[in-house]
Amino acid sequence: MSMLEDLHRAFRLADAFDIVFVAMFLYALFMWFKATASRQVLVGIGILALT
Amino acid sequence: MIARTFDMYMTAALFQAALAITAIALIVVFQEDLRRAFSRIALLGKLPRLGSAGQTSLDCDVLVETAFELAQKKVGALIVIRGDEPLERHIRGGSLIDARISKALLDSVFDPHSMGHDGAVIIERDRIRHFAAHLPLSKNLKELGTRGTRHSAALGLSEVSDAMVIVVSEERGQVGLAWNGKIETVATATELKGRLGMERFTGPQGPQQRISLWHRLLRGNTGLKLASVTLACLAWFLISFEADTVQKTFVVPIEYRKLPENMFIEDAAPTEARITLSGFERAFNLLVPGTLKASLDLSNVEEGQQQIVVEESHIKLPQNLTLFRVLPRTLSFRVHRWVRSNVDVEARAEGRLPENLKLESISVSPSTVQILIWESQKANTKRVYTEPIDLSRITKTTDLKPKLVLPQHVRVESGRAPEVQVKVSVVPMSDSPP
Repeated sequence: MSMLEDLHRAFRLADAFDIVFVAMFLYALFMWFKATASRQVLVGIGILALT
Repeated sequence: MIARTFDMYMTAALFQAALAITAIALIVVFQEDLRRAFSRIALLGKLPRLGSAGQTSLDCDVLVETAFELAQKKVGALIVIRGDEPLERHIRGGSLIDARISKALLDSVFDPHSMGHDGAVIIERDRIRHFAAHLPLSKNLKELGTRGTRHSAALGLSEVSDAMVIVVSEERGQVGLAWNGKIETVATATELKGRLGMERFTGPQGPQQRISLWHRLLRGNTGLKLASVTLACLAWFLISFEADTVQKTFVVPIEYRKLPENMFIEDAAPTEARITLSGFERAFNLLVPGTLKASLDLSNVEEGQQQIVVEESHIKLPQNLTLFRVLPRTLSFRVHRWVRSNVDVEARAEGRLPENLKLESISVSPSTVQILIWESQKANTKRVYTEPIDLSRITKTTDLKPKLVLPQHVRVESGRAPEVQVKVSVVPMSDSPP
């Protein structure tokens, strides 16, 4: 319960915009990833980044 | 991330060093995608025309009719309908032309005996701009299937631009449509007309166009959209969300602003304050401490001792940070008003004259000067003095130019003390031995 209260207290309008922009960026990235012919390269870079 | 989590220093350092190389490699590998992304950003200003793509004036009946007639005759054809993105860098060879679209012209261009029949026709608005053009070939064999080179060219251009390509197969006598990296066979003229109308030729006046932007945003790829929103929420929760508030203290300068010109703050006024701010850590991350200052508006200040309580309104704080404490809470300082005054000038003498001389007079010229003085001190200050004159060094009547010594509460308007002349007149002692 206190976690929800903390969330409610800390969440601002700017955070909503923040989430929307990041979601749009991620969606564009996913779409690009889906469309690009070099997606295997992206997978390799992703693995490297995680390492 | 894993390397850092498990403190694998060497691996982390290796990847850090390779970061620049990776960045360059990324640019090289994805140069075409990046180029297209930047060119799309440049086209953002044309968003309201999306969907219409500048082709609203084109009557697609001619294209559809010609395509299906060519298919029936098993004559191959490639007809490119330009979207918003420029095609010049993808096209090789061919010839420029500027002609109205007509069935006769298209039949003639794609006639097997014509020189350019293997190339593509590029249509921009309602004109044919290019013919016999060579298009980039697709490498997507999965999408291409068993189709031939002409289809590969159609798909290739649709992968790197927003153009639509109508392709007629000479072997199968079928009409296909390539768009957005996909190619499919279109069975009937009505279907092709419908596809062209839906994707490209819907005019801005139609109701379909008015909703198309939202429609485009909301329809399709629901899974990916949900995944994006979920990931963004998760990232916000992990990176930005904090329940605990933090307090940090900063030493900030105090700025006394809009002080009237004839007013003066005594040097003892505080110049710095320690302020303690409260808020979430992320709010502090966005704060530039160098921009913090306490700014006091003294436009209505009166002469005399002042006491101002520093409040949140005196400090420009970023959103989500509150002022928790200020030290000193109350700023105490004295303000003086400068007023003009004429005071006497007096020469200050020290030491004794030689024994054989007698002081006749010490005269000062000018005898008065105009000064600026604190209003509170005006009544007590009737004269100002020169720097001390050493009488023991006087051997005869002498003219001197000593400086004026001004106390703290006095200054001269020009900033430079006026010159004064002092004449020390002496006479020999009458009883001195000859």
